[in-house]
Amino acid sequence: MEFSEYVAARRPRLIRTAVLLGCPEADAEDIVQTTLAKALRSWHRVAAASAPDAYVNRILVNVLHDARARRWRGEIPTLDLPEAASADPDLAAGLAVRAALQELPVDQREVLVLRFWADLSERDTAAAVGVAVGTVKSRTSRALCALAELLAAADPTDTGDRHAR
Amino acid sequence: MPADDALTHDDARRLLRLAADTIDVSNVADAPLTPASRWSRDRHHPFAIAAAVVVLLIGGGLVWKGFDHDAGPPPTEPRNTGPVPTVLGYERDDAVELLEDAGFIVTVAGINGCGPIGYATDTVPGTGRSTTDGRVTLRYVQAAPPNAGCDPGAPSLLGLELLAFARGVGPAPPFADQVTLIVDNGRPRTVAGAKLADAVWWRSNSALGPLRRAAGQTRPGSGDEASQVPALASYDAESPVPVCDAPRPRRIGGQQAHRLAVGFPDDLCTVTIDLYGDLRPEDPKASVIDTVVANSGTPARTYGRSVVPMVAGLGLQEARDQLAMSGFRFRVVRDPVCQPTGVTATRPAGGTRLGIGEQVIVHLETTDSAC
Repeated sequence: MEFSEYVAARRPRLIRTAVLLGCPEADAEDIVQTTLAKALRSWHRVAAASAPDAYVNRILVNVLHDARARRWRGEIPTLDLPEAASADPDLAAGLAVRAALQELPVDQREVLVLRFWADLSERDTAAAVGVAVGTVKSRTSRALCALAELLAAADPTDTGDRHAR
Repeated sequence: MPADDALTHDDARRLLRLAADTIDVSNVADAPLTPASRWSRDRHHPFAIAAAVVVLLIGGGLVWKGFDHDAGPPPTEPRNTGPVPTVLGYERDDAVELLEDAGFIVTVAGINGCGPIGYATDTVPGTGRSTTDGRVTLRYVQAAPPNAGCDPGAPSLLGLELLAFARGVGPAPPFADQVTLIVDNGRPRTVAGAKLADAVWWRSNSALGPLRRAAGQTRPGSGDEASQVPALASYDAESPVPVCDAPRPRRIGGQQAHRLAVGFPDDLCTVTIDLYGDLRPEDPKASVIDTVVANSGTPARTYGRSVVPMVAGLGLQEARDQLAMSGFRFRVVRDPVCQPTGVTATRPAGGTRLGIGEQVIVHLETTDSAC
């Protein structure tokens, strides 16, 4: 695949991935530009890889780590999410998920976003974040539980009777 | 957490999709970065070096400027003034990426030299040295020297691709469907080639980690000299070095290994990766690796005594090999004479029993310039 084709097909998705991973929306395009520039330099390797998306997402994760260390001095700034429009339940739910993702530890957030949004396999997720496949599995399990608890805690309709069922 | 409260994978996909849909990317342009590609792939091309590429992201309001090396990184990026990391075994573009990721401003200079074309030779300032302005020149081999011969043992393309794979910057080498793997004299295992192509699998199975670490090692230079980097060599190995290496698999028979070795000259044992199969060291794509014998540089035997071999009359390289195979370190003392005859003696003398790992002095006659 030519690099220009890849960029046209993947750029919007990469921006969403960056934001879900914790990048402020205002910085996401810059982060993705840096990621794509790095991927371009190694394009002959990326294009030859069995999973180019995994390769590029690994670059994105590393770029975000560097940005956190240099610009944001640790945790990302708290995202200023808009108030959910009560008429749009999907929008409300999506914003609630984004708020919950912010509350998760970085390593749990990463595996959730890479596995269930970027749709990487466990093996490719492990390569992207630099851990063993077993670690991805255990982190995913903990992250799913943590996300469920955060969403339940944030849900005004949740009466807390779930555990009693 | 109770199982019935846990999110399923499908739940997670649905929720992440909802979250992603709240992120507005409607103003993101599809403009490709095509002009930069010529620059990135041919950094030494005069057009690419001279040109500054500007890509306007329509609607996004963001102007991204692709830069040539000397223009430097965007002002918000911090600059690094040292120490300069090693570029041993890196292909030119990967070496540039390594240095730029470390915060240096990189200029590339091609030289005529021994070693694989397109691979880094060194940096100016050298490894471990500092810069005053964050600028580093990367030198790489652009052509072989026109008249001089090169010493054998320069790393092969197959060896360098293996190292790139170990570092996570290159694809897997060409493994057969089933590969026999022996690590540090352990039990031979048969592993699916597809599994060996997974860099994460290697990391957790400790086979290529020693190679990656050894190639990244540096040792302090003396005085103002650059740091020492290990030697990286490829050659056809007839037999393993008994003290250091695992025994050859029986089924190999008389087949030669293509060996990638990384280590410092005065180390008793070096990290070696012996490859067997249908190999074309300078044409990796035409090769098929069916056996890998990896040694992490830990001597297989560090105790006991061995006999100093008789090496008088041999050439220096052969004398070195004999001493190494017997488990000894060595130091060469040069004796200038008018008609040198090679290695003349050792101290202790040949036949002496000595502890493994101890040093043997090799006396080598060399040409006296006064004659």
